[in-house]
Amino acid sequence: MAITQPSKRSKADAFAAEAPDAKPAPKLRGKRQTITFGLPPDLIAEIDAIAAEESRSRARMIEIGMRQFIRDYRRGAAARDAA
Amino acid sequence: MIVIVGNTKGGVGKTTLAVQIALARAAAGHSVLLIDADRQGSAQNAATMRAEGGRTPPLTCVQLADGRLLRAQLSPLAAKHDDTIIDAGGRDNESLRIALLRSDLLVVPVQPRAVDVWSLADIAELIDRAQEAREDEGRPRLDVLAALNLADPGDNRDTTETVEALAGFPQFTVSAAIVRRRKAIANAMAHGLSVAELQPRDPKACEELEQLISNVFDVTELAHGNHTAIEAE
Repeated sequence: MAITQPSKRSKADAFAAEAPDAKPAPKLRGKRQTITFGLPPDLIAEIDAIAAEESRSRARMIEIGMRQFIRDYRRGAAARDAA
Repeated sequence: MIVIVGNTKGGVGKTTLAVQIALARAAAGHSVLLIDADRQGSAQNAATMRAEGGRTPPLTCVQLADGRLLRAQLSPLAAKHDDTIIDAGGRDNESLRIALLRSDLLVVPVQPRAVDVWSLADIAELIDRAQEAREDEGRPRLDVLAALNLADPGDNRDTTETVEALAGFPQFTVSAAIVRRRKAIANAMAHGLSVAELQPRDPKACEELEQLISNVFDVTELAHGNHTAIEAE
């Protein structure tokens, strides 16, 4: 018995997705979306040093930093609104 | 009925024909939606000029230049109108491809010029791929009407040779109507008017466009893939 898998992308989906201006679907790893961006090398070195001290990955340290930034930013915005 | 006016080659008069087709159908009492799928927004400008001039019937026009948005919105919007006319941007893009998958008829304006004839293979290849994708989805074949547009006035070799070149592409049915480069058409567009509304009236421009538009709405009755020229009524 041959077991065939249905194709994941129909010809119509592929046809539209191959347009020169089509935006790629977001890359998801589990519940995470992979993004690519650049940082100055000295900042990366500092992040890596802290990551080593904390036994965490670089990606995890950036995530913690961004969450901290968002909290601080929102608090600052709320304080400005209240003033 | 959903009609897309499109060609991967720019400068062939897609917006002009889309607006003129939409206005002619609206004047005939149909409920018409014009979708501007070109980021330049020229069809929208024509609709705005018409609205500001207080002309009736109004031309209902929305801009859906993003492919994913067009995919999501086209069917529900088209369901509310008798005719939906899509003005696609002048290059291969996602919104053009979505429209090729979801429309009933593609009108391909072709300018009788060497560069335009050279570009026919590009749109023909895209049509082939769209037809395959439609077949895969169980959709009927897309009807395709090639319309000679912006032709030089009078009989001339460029026009004859373009018709001959089109006959070599089984993807197209070729309209017998030849729309020539006429100031009246450009003037009408500048005010969001149909050529029939423009004063003073240019009978030749009116006749050419009437013939083309009657071909557009007759073409689905022809055999698919038949590239025999259609005689206007």
